[in-house]
Formats: sequence, C-alpha cells, structure tokens
Amino acid sequence: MLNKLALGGIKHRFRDYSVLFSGLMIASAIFYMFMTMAMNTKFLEANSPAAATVFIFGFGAVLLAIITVVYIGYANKFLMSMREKEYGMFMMLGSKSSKISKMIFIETFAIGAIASIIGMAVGIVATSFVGDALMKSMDIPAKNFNSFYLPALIATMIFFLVIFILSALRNSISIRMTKVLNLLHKESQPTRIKRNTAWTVIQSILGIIFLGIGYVTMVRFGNSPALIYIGVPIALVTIVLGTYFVINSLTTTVINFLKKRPGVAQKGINNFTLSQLNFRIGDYTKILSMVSIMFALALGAITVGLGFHQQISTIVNGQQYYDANIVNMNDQERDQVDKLTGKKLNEYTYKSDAKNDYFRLSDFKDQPITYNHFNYSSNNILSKTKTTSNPKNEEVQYYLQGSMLGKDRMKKLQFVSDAEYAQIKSEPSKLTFVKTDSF
Amino acid sequence: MQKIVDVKNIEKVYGGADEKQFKALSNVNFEVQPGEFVGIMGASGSGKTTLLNILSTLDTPTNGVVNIAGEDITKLKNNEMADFRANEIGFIFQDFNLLENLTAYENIALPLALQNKSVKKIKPNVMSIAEKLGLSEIMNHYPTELSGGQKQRVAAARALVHYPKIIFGDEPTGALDSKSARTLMETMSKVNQEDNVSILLVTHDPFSASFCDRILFIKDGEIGQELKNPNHSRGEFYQEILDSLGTFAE
Ligand SMILES: Nc1ncnc2c1ncn2[C@@H]1O[C@H](COP(=O)(O)OP(=O)(O)OP(=O)(O)O)[C@@H](O)[C@H]1O
Ligand SMILES: [Mg+2]
Repeated sequence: MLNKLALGGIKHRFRDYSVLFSGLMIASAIFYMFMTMAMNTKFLEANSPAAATVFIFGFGAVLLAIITVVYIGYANKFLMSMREKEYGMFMMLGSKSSKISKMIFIETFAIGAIASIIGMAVGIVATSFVGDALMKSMDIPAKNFNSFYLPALIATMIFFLVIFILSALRNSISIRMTKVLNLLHKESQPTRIKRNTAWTVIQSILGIIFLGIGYVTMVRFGNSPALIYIGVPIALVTIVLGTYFVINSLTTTVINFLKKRPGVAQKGINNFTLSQLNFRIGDYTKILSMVSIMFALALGAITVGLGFHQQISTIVNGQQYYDANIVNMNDQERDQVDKLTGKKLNEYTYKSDAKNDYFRLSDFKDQPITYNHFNYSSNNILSKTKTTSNPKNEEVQYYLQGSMLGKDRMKKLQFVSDAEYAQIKSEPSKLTFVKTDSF
Repeated sequence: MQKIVDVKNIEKVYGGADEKQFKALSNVNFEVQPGEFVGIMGASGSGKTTLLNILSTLDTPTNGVVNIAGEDITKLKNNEMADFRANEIGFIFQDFNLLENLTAYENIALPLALQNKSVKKIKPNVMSIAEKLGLSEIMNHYPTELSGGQKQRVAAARALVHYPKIIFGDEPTGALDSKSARTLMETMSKVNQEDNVSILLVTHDPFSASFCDRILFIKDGEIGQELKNPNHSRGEFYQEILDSLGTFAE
C-alpha cells in the first residue's frame, strides 16, 4: 500500500512527470557520455600528450556536475510541489512523518533510478555514435575507446544516487517543517508576485547585462583555445543567470503593464487570462529556467567536446610542423627513422661556443624549413604553415631553439656563411627534423 | 461523562511580528458532549474555518486551551499528534480531498492503511461503513467516475472508517445540490445516532444546520448566540434557524 501510495501519484501525473523525467534522463545520458571520455585516462593519454586535455576534462566534469545538481534541484522542487498536497492529506489522516519520509524516498528513488538507468543506456548508445564521429574527425585509432566503460557507469550511478538521496532528504525535511494546513492548501496558493518594482528593474537590467556578457564571451573567446578556459565558465554562468533574470522580471513587467492598459485588459477575457498567467507565473518561470539550464548542460558538454577536439588538433598540427626532431641521431634512431614511410628529412648542422649557436645559411637555402606562423591578432590563433629559406625570422629561431639540446637552447642564434662556419672551432652537432604523412 | 470538546478562551491572531495583525477569534468558550451533533454558523469571514482548523489540530491557537477527547491538543508532540489524528478524529471538507488515483475502496481504506493495519482487518471495516453509507456498489470506481454527492459520502466514509470519537466537517454540503446535501446529512445524522460519534459541522446552509442538536452562531470571531433543538423536529428547527439568522445578522 505504501508503495502504491508513493508511486500511484507518479502514474497518475504521468504527463507532468514526463517532462521532468526526460530532463533527468538527458542529464544522466550527458553525464555518462562525458564521463566515459573524462575518466578513460588510457584513452586520453594515448591520444593527447598535453596536460591541457586533463584540465579540459577535469574542469568539464566539475562544471557538468554543478549544472546537473542545479537542474535536479529545480526538478526536485517542481516534483515536490506536485505532491505536497497529497502528503499534507496523509498527515491529516494521521500518518507519522517518518512514514511520509519513507514515501518520499521511495518516490524520489523510483524516479531517479528509472531516469538515470534509461539515461545511461541512452548514454551508452549515444557515446558509440559520438565516439565514432570523434575518432573519425580526429583520425585517432579507436583503440582504448569503448562506449561501454564501467568506471564511468559506476561514477554516474554514484553521482546520481548521492544527488537523489540529498533531494529526498531535503524534501522530507521541508515537509516536516511545513504546517499541515499549509500543505493542504499548497495547490491554491499563488506564487506571490512581489510588486517590488525596484528589484524587478534591477533584475531585468542585470539579466540583459549578463546575457550580453555571456554571448559576447562566447563569440569572442569561443574560438580561441587559450581563452576558452575562461570563456566557457563565464558564458555558462552569465547566460543561465541572465536568462533566469530576464524571464523572471520581463514576464511580470509585461503582464502588469498589459493589465494596466484598459484597451487590452478589458477586452473579452484578456484580463482573466492575464490574471491566470500571473497566478501561474512561478511555475512557468520554473519550467523555463529548467529548460535554459538543460541548454546550458548540453552547451557545456558540447563546448568541452569542441575544446577537446581543438586542443588535439592544436597539439598535433598546431605547435610544430615536424613530427619529430632529433639532435645527433644515433644508429638506433636512424634505423627507426629509416623504417618510416612517406617521410621527409631536414638536416641542419650547427656549432656552439659559450654564447652562440652557429648555423650555415646554405643549409637553409638547400632545405627550406617549414614552420607555423601564428597570427595573434585574429581570434583564431590556429597557425598557418609557412616555408622559408631565410631562417632569420623570430618564429623560426624560436622553433630551432626549442628543438636543440638544453645546454645550447638559451644561446643566441647566428646564421653565417660557409666560410665563417669553417672558422669556428667546435664540434659540429646535427639537428634532424622528420615529417611523415602518417603521424 | 468526559467532554469531547472543551475549549477555553481561544484567541487567534493572524499575521507575524512584522505583518499586519488580524484577530480572527477572541474569547471563544464552548463544550461538546459525547454523541452531540453541533453546528457552527456565521457570516463569511466570521472565523468559522479558523475555529474548526484549530479544533481539528490543523492549526494552533494564539492563546487558550483546547481539549479534544480529554487530550490537550496544543501540547501534543509530532508522533502523538499523528496517533491522535489517526485514532480520535475524522475530517470532511468542502472540496472532497479524495486521491484521484485510488478507487473509492482504497480512499476509504487510506487512514487504516497509513496505520499499517493488515488487509484482513481493513476490509471488514471498509465494507461495513460503505454499506451503511450506501456505497457498496461503487467501491471500485475512481473519484472521476463518481458524482459530487457520492464523492462526499466516500469522504465521510473515510472520516468514519477508524471509528473516531468526533468528526469535523467544514461545509461538507457546500458544493452539493440540495438532494445530495440531504442524503449526506441524513447519513451523518444516522451515524451520529447509531454509533454515538460526535459531529462538529461548519455550514452556511440552514437546511443542513437543521439536522444538528445545537447551533453556535459566530460573529466577528466571537460566539454570540446559541440555538438548541430539544424536541428533534427538523421542520420547526429549520424555521428557528432562519429567524435567528435574520436577527443575528443585524
Ligand atoms: N491565513 C490567514 N492569514 C490571515 N488572515 C486570515 C487567514 N485565514 C483567514 N484569515 C482571516 O480571518 C477571518 C476569518 O476567516 P475564516 O476563514 O475563518 O472565515 P469563515 O468564517 O470560514 O468564512 P467563510 O464562510 O467564507 O468560509 C477572515 O477575515 C479572513 O480574512
Ligand atoms: Mg470557511
């Protein structure tokens, strides 16, 4: 009977619940999808050498967790508001509050469990598609990546379990704190619109400012791998807050404005409709906020995914044109390099003294060097490759220095003629760059 | 004999410390004897619902003592309060307060089910009360499949199923047509006489009130006049009530 009472309500209000339910489901699907990538360190390490990737995923996981918590908090409040009256009636009929708590737990868990299990199933299927697409677009061998990843599944389960326990706790505490009489009359209590105009005005201004900041950061920072770390959190927070404020203040203001205009309000049933809207505005605001949080959730996941994608291409193609550079190649290394197919080698010899590294200009004439030209002025930092036989430009020098042995790295680079080079008394070293067409 | 309701100097002030204060009840004193059928009448806003909520443990008085069935209900703790509601009192409201997703049978059984009573114990109780109120035929119907009058009788059955000492009703006939109202009042009257359940009923309607043994008139939060019906002739009592309402309203 207890189960039937707790769960009967769900069946009966299936349509109300279905919105919430699909939201929860999507949340857990996204969370699982994200976790399969974020927690699969083997996969991450195998495919991206940069520490930045770990950062992206760590940050993304926290962000996603926060948004999910906020969303479930909202959903839970909404769910509770549909049931309060019933619980009030049970109390009126002499039910102990411990029994009410039990019912709340059963109900919250039933919804939570079903939603997150279906969500995870959806997540597994979706991950296999997204995973495939990701692998293809990045040319990564799909090894170490499996759409079913147990640790991610467990993490998702634990995460949602904890959230639902907390929600159930919160619900039962709030029921215990509320007077039975107030619970019984819950449904008919309008969410009072405070006609506190100052606050409404502040809200609408803040909302518009937040939205502005949010979208500007998205546009301006969104494409740059360096700024995206700052841009995403700023955009997420401001857009969610902004949307909430704008919906909250604007709707009230517009309705009140319309009600004050006799031409509008006194026509037909307009006044009635407006009053009705005003009465229910609390619910609508809640629904709209949930939708916008849901968007933020998806947006967050997508942004992190894109950031990851971009990061990989930056690392693989962006920073260095060549796939390997070797100083004074030994026989073993030469053997390995020989095995590579479709390769192109550039070899430059240099001599060093205490302050300088000397390169032969003629080497660069014979084998023009290719480097990445970064254009910092545009939003898109991603580089263009350029090939030159004049090594004196800064980017080439920087690149050469980065490729040399540590002891020679801090010295000044000099580019000299063959004759001058011959004059320098020091052991020559050889710097070899390897480019293959199959990194 | 022990009084079922014994209230002394109840006062109810609405509004918190920083809100506008409103005194809805002041200096209310009265008693109800076991088996008595008492009505409370008064103009809209006079404080009837406020009084009934306090007597039925749903609200607390600002001042005063409320004894129901020998228990000072203002002093009950959480679980004691739950037991008290489960065993001693029953409720019927104007809007029916049935659960839409439970059948009539399940709705009536609800108070017992919430007490973890076994199905074996619940069934005979529910069936006998249903028969008394003429609901046997509709036990498997859901509330949406019932008429207003039937719903209200289901609510009455639910209030009676645990054999409470007293039933509180806030305008239970308020939403019913006169025929359904009459059926409900006749049922209440029957239960009152046969099972010796006390009834305290708030009503606007003189016809419903004419079923009572005694009527308290309340005005601006205070009990003014009292009307008794010693000889149980409903027609005469009805007329008396109408006359009193006329003079009392002045
Ligand atoms: N929660 C509340 N807060 C503040 N004032 C209240 C509250 N509930 C009732 N009142 C006020 O107390 C007074 C008595 O209300 P009550 O509901 O008891 O009237 P009533 O006699 O039941 O009226 P009706 O016949 O219309 O149901 C009214 O003036 C009402 O405005
Ligand atoms: Mg009332």
